[in-house]
Amino acid sequence: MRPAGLLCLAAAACSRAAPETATPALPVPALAAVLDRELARTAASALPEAGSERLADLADLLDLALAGGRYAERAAEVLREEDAAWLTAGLLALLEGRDFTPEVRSVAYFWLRERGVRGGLPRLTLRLKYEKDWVANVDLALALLRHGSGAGLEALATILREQTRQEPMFREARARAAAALAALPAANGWVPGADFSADWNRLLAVQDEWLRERRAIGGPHPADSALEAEVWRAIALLRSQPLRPVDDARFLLQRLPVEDAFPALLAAAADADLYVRDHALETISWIGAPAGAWSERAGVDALGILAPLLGETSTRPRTLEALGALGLPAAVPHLLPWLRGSAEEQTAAADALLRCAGAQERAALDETLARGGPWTAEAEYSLHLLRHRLDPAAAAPASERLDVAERMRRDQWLAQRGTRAD
Amino acid sequence: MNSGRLDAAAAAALLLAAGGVAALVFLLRPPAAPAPLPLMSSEQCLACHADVAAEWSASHHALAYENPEVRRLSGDFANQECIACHAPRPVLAFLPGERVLARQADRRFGVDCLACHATPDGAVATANPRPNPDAPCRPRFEGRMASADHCAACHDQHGTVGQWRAAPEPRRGDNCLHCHMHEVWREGGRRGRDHGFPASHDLAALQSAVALRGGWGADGPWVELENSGAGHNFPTDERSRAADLEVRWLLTGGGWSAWERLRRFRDPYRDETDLTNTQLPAGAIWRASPPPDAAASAGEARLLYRTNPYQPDSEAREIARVPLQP
Repeated sequence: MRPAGLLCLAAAACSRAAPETATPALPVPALAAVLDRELARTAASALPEAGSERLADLADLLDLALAGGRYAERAAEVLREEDAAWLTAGLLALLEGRDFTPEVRSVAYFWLRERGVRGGLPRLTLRLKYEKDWVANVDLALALLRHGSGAGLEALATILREQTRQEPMFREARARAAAALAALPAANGWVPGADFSADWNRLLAVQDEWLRERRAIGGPHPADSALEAEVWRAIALLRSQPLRPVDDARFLLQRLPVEDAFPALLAAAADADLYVRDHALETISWIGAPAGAWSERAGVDALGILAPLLGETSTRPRTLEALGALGLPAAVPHLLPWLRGSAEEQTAAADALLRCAGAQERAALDETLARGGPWTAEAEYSLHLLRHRLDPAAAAPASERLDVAERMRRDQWLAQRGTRAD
Repeated sequence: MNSGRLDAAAAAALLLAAGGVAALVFLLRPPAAPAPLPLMSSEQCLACHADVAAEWSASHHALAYENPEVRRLSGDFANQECIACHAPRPVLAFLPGERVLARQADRRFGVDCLACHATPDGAVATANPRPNPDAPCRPRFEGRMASADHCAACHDQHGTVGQWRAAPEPRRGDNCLHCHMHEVWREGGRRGRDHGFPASHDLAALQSAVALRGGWGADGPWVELENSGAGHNFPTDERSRAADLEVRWLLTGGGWSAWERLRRFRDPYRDETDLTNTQLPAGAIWRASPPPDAAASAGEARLLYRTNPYQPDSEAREIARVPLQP
């Protein structure tokens, strides 16, 4: 018997009744087979499939590259002459097979850095989820950096911060990570390799900028049809019934430079398939404010594209979340009415407001709070947290009704929120 | 004057009669059905179904989002792919057998009433073919509620329903309810199904899944484990689940040797490429003849169940133990 669960239900039952039902009646948006259309359109540009025989040859070349001497020189010659798109696809396929030693994987990442095409970036980004070897992670981070992604910088920082482990593998990883910092983009007055603390500070600065903006490092890069095709292939994983491929897709799409992933996700949010739509919107929420900032830079009306999707009931909470996550105060009028919606809608609307509403919304927020609930525990916490942010004199939100993980998620949103909305 | 007075009296009598009829109609009217209850949260179910809620609150469905072990394995749900099944939207909003998506509100209730019973149009579904039409939650019969598809939305993520479908017919039972939602009688003589969902955290359920046998014949000691009662692989669902068959020997000096593992039954994680799936399918038997310690006069075998492969013996559950005697 677990009385806590029952008490929790009983306590909440006294505080929750049906809310007023005065939510907007919106037209149902036109949904289409966006994904299938885009997969067909971009199919010819996708990375080639590598046959098993050629893959075996490529694996032999990587082994030879490790052997040193003339064998390694010859292997390097052959790898330099390979078609770059095929080599990228082949190296990624070998890495995804996970049959190779960390040393071979490091060599594969090296060649993806040297000769890989940008179309390999999505699958290369996914290696961050599965690559466990520290040294190989350094080479992976360098390969990502070469293609404009800062997604591997966190691994470099983690390796350099770990000073307690003294086994040879950790020492080598730290030495390689320290040397890798020379590949960071140049900055005024910074001489790579001259002083470790300057290198370290440069890493933190580049990483901070990457996390805040997710702009392609060393970019903007020219449009790349192979990359576009591979992004759509990743989005196709969102409709999988097993969850692992879905999680893989969300993982990599969230970590790509925003200009490479967000436009496709925005289009996929209107797909006829519920799973594609839901996960595309969810991934936009995970990307957050960098997507909103990109929309403004690129002149793309992301709010104008997303807002009509509120007419679709099954993904409305996700749409509300995505609208708020962009961090654009202009989203607020789309969100406020849904505070009177279902439990899912009011929670999503409150969470979204937490991520985008600014000082100019204080009056509306006060009025909403004065009118009273019933609120879900999540909505109540988000609204009071926002109120506290806009006016530190206001009471901090009570949190006893809310699970600790849910509270931390919302505290983190607040911490990540830019200052633009305030 | 008189006729006017009579007219007034007649009118008054008529009015009185009409009023009486109206009062009678009001008093004898059939009871109105209560207004439908707009469903917002599982909390609302408590008012009428406290007994079911009590069963549920002791279940691992109730604990799904707050279970410390789940929290640890999912990095406090930093691994968000787990949320979909640990705090799902109503299963009936999805096609039969298709996976569910995560909900945003009331996650702390885990797999709650609405997750299984709410319909997309705001009503409540039940497997009861004769639900009370006047109940405020407007229950209606939904055959899918009792089907394996209903459970597959979550429990096939790790292959359990697929294993059940592949099991030999006599081993399967009618559906998941057969083993995991027994019939119960509740107060007032109402018949229902146990919402405690006995499964891998329930010793009796574990013991009904397998049979451990052993002995010491002419060829020496032997041990066998049969998946005699589970309609799916044993152990199933979470990849972290592990069942260890162990033996130890009674030494001639009188003491026992340490337990040694004969076999681990488990579906490994994807990155454990050096391991193979050793789950025991429904109806299958695994048998071994463990070589005894040279100084052994007898032995015993036991089956330990771990909810994660790193769980120490002290936290594992002993499902069965058999003596191995010449």
